[in-house]
Amino acid sequence: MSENILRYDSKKKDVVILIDRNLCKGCDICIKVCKPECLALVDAPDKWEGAVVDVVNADDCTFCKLCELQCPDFGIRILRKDEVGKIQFGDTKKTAAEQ
Amino acid sequence: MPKAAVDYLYYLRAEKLPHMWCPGCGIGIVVKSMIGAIDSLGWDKNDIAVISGIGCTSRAPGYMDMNTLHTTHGRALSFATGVKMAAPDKHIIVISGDGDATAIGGNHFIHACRRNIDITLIINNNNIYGMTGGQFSPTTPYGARAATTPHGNIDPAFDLVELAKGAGATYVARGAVDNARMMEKYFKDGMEHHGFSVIEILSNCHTQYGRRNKMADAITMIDWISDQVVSNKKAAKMSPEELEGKIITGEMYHNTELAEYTDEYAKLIERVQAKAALKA
Repeated sequence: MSENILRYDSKKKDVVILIDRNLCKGCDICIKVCKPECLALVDAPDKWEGAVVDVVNADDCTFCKLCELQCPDFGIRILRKDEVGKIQFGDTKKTAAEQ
Repeated sequence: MPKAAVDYLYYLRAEKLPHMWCPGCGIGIVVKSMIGAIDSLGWDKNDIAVISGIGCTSRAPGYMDMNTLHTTHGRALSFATGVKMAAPDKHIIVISGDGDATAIGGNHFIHACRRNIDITLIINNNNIYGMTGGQFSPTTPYGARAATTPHGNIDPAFDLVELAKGAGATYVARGAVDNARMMEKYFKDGMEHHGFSVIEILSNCHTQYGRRNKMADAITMIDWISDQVVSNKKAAKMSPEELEGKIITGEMYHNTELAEYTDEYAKLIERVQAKAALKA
């Protein structure tokens, strides 16, 4: 996986949180809908928006998938461990460069 | 057993991402719910045509890896009617903004409703013309500021649900961008419905609408929508005074009795051909 894909595995549950830094625009919606406060905005000087979402507490994720459903940018995925790799995610920039 | 994860990128032209919509724009959530509904129906993406007109919302088909058509302003439904008549076995979805569907395409909208042709119309109602610079649209609320109404809008707003019902659509629902799960359910029911279905989604345009009405970011504007909406089940228990200023969401109308247009057309062809065969 490229450096712009962030992966966090929960220690308590069969949950993996994936974030695509290329797609995230730092709009704050996922952070607002997350009840266990797993997510936070961090500074991203390399991006035009200046901020990007990051995981601060992956262990408390309840797999409610609200962040994934409410994300307008297809930038966050909540998956089971066995689903990672089967579900396409990330590397959209690379695809563009290849074409 | 929880639902299997949806492979969103399979339905998207991934190389075109990130999309052109502003950070936090509701259209992204509408597109995602649309894909979720298509995935849960198990439709082949090659059997679906997504058609749009002009506007921010109408850029959606550009990102979707299906048969897509980006047409002239307000005329998405006319093109969609043509596609449906030529290929009645395909699934036709029209995604449109409030200005595109109800102002410039208002006439096409009411007549598509009247015909009851098997098309799903998704209206992303963000109360404004976003792409062209924030002019007021037929759904801008009374008193709201827009680029062309700097002292407040004096036009009463359209109620799209009542308009669609009155014009003859057979499935009408209203959802809001703050509840993607319900939105996905209405999309699924609307797509499954054999007849003209209209799903209005109350969405946020914090860049053009919010900025002029003291809601300059996505969160404030989605909260504003959340405060206004009441589900139809909850609304049934509320008094008219409590419902003042509220917008009712939910499945508003569902009629499976009325004849669908392409079915009627096939019957007509059969009838006329039988008559011609008798003569010959």
